[in-house]
Amino acid sequence: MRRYVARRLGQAVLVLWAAYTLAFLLLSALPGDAVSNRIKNPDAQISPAAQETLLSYYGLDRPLWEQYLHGLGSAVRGDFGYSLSTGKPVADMVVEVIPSTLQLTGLALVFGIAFAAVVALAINYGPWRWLRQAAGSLPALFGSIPTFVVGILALQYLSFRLHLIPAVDDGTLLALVAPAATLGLVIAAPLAQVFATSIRSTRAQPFVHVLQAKGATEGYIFRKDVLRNSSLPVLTLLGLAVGELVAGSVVTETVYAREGLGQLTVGAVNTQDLPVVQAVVLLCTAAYVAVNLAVDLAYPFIDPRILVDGRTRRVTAGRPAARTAPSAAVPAPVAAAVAPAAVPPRRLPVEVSMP
Amino acid sequence: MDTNSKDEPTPMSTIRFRKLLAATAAATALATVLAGCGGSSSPASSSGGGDPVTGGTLTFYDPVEYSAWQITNTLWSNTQVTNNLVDRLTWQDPESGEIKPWLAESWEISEDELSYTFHLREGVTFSNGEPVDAAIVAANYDQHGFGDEARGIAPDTFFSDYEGSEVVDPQTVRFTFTRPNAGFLQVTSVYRSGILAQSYLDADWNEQGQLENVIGSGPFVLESVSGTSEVVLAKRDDYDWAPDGAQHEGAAYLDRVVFKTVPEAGTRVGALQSGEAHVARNIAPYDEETVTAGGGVIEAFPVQGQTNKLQISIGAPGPTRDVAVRRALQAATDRQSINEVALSPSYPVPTGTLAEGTPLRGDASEYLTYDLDRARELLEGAGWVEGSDGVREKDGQRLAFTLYVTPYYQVSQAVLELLQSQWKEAGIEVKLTTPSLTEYQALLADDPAAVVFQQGQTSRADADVLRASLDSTANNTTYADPVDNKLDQLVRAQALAFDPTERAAAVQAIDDYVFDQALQIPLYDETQVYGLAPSVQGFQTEAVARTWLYDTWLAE
Repeated sequence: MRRYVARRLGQAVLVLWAAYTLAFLLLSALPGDAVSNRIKNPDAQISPAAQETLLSYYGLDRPLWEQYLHGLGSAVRGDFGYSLSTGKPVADMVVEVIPSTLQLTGLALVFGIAFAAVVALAINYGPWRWLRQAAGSLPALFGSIPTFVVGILALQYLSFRLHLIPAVDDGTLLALVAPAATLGLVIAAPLAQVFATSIRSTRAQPFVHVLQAKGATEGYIFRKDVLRNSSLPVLTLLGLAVGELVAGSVVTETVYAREGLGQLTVGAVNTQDLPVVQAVVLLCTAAYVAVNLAVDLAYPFIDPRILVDGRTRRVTAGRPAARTAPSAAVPAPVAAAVAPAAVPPRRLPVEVSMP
Repeated sequence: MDTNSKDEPTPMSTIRFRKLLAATAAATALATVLAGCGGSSSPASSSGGGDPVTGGTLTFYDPVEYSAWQITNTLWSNTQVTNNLVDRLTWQDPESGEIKPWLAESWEISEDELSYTFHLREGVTFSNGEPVDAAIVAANYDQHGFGDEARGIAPDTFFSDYEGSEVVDPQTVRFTFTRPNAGFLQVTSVYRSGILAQSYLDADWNEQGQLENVIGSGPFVLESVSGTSEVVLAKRDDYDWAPDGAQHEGAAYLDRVVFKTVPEAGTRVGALQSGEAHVARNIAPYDEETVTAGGGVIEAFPVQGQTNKLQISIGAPGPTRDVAVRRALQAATDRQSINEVALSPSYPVPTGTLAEGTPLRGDASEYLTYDLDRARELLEGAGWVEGSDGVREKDGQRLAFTLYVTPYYQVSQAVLELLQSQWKEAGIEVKLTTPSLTEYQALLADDPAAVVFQQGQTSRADADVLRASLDSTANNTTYADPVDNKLDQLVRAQALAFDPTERAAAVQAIDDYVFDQALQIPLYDETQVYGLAPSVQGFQTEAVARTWLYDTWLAE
């Protein structure tokens, strides 16, 4: 386990370096730079001589490789330099907006999961056919409406017409609800789709029929067997959803005029503020790597058949007796259906459903 | 995730679902009731003036994220804020263009027109308590004039030919120049010449970019700044040196001003209607009616300086080297229709090189009349004959141009699309491209002279803006090669004419030359359009349409 984590951390460092380098190369390849962007505007009224002063002040007149090595060296030491458009230390700017974005994405994640769970359950367990069908079309519907449309509609009705929520962030929890729900919808759509499908296929497994035959209620089967068995793909998708949350926060924060990482990114990209973009890229990469590592490490806790470092791991202690009892009693064909997966030790699940 | 309770029968009971539906309905009902209570904030109808009320917080929504706060940063969003933080030596009346006392009670210009002596008002202090005296004023202008290489600060183009300062006594300061410049007195009134405390001057470029360091003597002081999206100003209670042109004396009426950046145009307009915002900047022409229909007020302020125009690069190869073609383009441009179709009455129809309201502007309307027949005649005369598809040709070359939708102006696309159709009437083909800011700048960085038409304008409420733009030793926007000596001589002459009548004549001479040669094609007068809630009274701007909230108050 320890070796596995160490290897993953090593990979993470490589990924971070690659992200930094790639971002540097891409942004350097773009024509122009933050300083000339500011100066070229006919109304900026700054002379070309001033441009040279500024370029040398920011070290942008040095050769590219020197800028790269200097930037990388400083980044390793945790110094991300100064923003070219605001003159603030980049680290300060990022730290300043992180809480706001964490609040937004955190609540969005909660909303997204809750919404996905409700829809997935309604699709599979809805008491009426029309409800199951209506719920079944929700993921596709929400998946296909762009975030900004939802945001603008929400503002139009909830804010401008009904005055329920402030249109622009005023720091209250109420102002957070609409953007978080908007962003939550984005990630909820694929989650709901995958979760619903996963529940359906798990319920079609022979062992479920056995449990039904033995008289277990649907609620019991769901809690004890279906939920656990059908949540792995959702977990994988959750890891990916973190990336989507960050991407979605760009649009959401712009529409709702919320301060945050997304808004910072938009501004930095528009003004070609390289140091800020670099820091944001690194931060997002780190978050993404960390979340996916956490997801990978969480697999064995949900499905004991999954082994993270190739060694066999027995997780029999503490298993509820109720669980072993019906399994022990299942007829041979059913046991065979469950067993094969347990025999050859798998590393990580491959049947990951992508949105 | 498992929301089922323990002993629930399956499938999930219909009763449970009904409960859920009922709960949802109840929540909706409650929400609606709450909305009824909370929705009473819509503004009352305008009080139509009345006595100014002290107090209140004004909320100002701006579309553009704030960048660094150096006083020389002209970014629209930033200057809405800084204009309220700093005072200048003089105050320019935005209507008449007249220069009046502010921090300087009086001034003299020497016989040789090379030195300016300012007598400062007594008792003025910065918000940190330090006095505004001759020494600090001199230090401010020295930094503008000379820059400070070690701190990354470049000399300010507005202070060209600056020779130095001299502190005559604590209340008297003298500045000298190597060349006379009739436009300099106006420079002392511009927001970028705002007088700042020593700590700002001691800071380096990055530190000067922090709003906390911008310490002036203005009617408002910084309360808080949050990232690049929010600034809160509070009034300065002991402010007592308003310029003569202000409507009142003493402290400002408003207690606080909250500036927020709200990029989404729909949100700004909506917030204005719902009463959440008092002022919203940059209302698009098509949103103006939405604002007035919702009870709001539209106020448009001319951005004094150049009109928004297509500057023709004479240095670029192609048909525009022929003055007849340029005159034809001018005649084929219907500015009245641009105003009516693509813009709104807020944007004046241009009549010269300088926008409406700019002091001493000339009148070139005789060169700017729309005359399609004349355009056709001129082109025929120049050898451009209509081809099979209606586009004119000469020696196998089509009369076709590329126009770039400049990323700086929100109305650019609509205006140029209309121009495209107008020029087509005369047999001129226009290819319209919409580059991103980066692409556009790459284009200009590559070979600016090759871009035949550059849309743009430079704002400054003084005719000297023409010299900065057209002089071959300054920005040289005509890229004439060889240098156009006549134009150089004309734009320099206005800077030497200190007598207003003489200077007006010098500006008229520039207009006559520029439009006789058809070096520019004016499109519209640059304008800042503000949407105001009906409760906002006494809203005004300085000469280039930057908000000045000293006299502003909130009714109710």
